[in-house]
Amino acid sequence: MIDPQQLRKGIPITDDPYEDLALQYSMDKDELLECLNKMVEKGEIIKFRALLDHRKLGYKVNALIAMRIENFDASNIPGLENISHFYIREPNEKFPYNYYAMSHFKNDQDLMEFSKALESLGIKHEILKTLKNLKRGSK
Amino acid sequence: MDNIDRIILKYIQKRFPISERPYLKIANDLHLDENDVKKRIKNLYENGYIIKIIPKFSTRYYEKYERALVAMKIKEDEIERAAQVINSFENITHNYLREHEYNVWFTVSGKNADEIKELVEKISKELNVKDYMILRSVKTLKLDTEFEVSE
Repeated sequence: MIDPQQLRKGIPITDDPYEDLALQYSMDKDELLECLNKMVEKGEIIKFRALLDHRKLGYKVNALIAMRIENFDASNIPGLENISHFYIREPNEKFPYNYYAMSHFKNDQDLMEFSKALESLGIKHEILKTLKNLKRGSK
Repeated sequence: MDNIDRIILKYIQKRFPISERPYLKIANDLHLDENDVKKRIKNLYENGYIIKIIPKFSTRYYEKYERALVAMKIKEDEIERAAQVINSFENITHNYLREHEYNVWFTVSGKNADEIKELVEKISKELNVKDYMILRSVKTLKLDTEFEVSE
């Protein structure tokens, strides 16, 4: 058995990724592939995919946008395609926002346009620009 | 990065095949050569375009765990040490410096809210940080880190 959490370390990007992953679990490759396919069947994982560096792809401006949304369907926010992670959170007395969006833009202007669109919907929000990733190897 | 690289990146950010020969599967789907795909993916990885290949979990899976976003006020000259301390705990997934009075933001997962609270208290004591907030996650609306791969 493989702990799904452990797979977050990633599949080795080598000549033979699954052979090398199997080695890590002291399995042979067929066994590993069967195991992974079972995990997909059981819904423990949906699939594997590559995590790309959005900065390298030209998304230079990244921000956490905290919003206060009430009586509005968040799926109607324009520019939803700029949001990679979107959560509802319990607000804090010091920080009264309930929706949190990790968002990515090619430049500041695109970010400001997004902000204006929220404003025009009457959505109070704060922009927390990303200055630095403090935990390398994650995104 | 050329156009074929872009096509490959687009493909693998959606799906990296679970297969005996994953590069062959990609090559066949994209009408490319297996060895070429292999070489390009390894290059894109070495050049930092690909960070890693990871599983996508269902939101149901994520919701099995208690998760929170934590924000702390850290003095400028202590940020580096703070990052080291925070990252030393296994349940920390992301950690970013942000432009805000609360400048260090990290995500943490745990079995329940108490476990998270305890961990954050431990961190705050070690860093001597008094002002912080724990923003409990209630619902995940979107979790796909897919980017437009264009010029």
